[in-house]
Amino acid sequence: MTSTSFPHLLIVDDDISILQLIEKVLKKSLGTELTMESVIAPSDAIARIDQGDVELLITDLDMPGISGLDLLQRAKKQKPCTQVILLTGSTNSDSLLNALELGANDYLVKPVDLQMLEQLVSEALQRLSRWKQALRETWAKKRMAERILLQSVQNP
Amino acid sequence: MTNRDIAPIYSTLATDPDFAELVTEYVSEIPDRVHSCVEFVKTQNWPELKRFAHQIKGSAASYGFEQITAIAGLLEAALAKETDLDQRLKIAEDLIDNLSAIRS
Repeated sequence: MTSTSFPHLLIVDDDISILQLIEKVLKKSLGTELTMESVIAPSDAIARIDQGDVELLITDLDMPGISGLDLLQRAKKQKPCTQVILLTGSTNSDSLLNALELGANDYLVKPVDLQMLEQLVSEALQRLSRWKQALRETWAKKRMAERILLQSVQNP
Repeated sequence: MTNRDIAPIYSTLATDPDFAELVTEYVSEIPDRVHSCVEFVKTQNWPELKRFAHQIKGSAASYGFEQITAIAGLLEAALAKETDLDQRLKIAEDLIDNLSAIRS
């Protein structure tokens, strides 16, 4: 099972050579900042997303059966803060436009520029960190407001 | 199916210690991929051949084989446009010849 202290990255592509390459590169450059796993079958990715701890998703857009678009929607529904980077063979596809409208954070055209991918993942980690910080602050303010309200009720 | 002798094609990443092992693994899987490609051509299974070309286009350059990605892209485009049979076969054979020539 994966650690919960670091964001968890799920990489999905139906070409194993792409998975191996991305995992190798990201483990080397960002391996101390996140945990990661890769799956070749989109159905396995659905099952993995449904466990609820995926916060970063890199997925191929054009896969047979379940598409990257399906995974994007599933991940955002499960956890709205999930950062999604799409890999696509073409910028002309309608599905890429749909994906961006549905909240994909970035995309890369294959063959993947590995330095660019590192940069995009790094930026995604920063956005995720800011999102979590904002959530913590919101919850802290809410708890403070509840305490003040409770005190005012107990000591009118 | 392959007719031409092509000089060995080496990965531009072969001497990079971070990638050498991965490149070797990628190259070791190529004979199986070529076999699949030949079957798709023989059976004129164009959808599978297009998918094959799409995958090779997406991976080869990342492993240091830019020339292969370029040819695979041509094949994918030719299949998408439903160009004539001779043209498809010509590009497919070119891809097979070049894939067969890659070395780690």
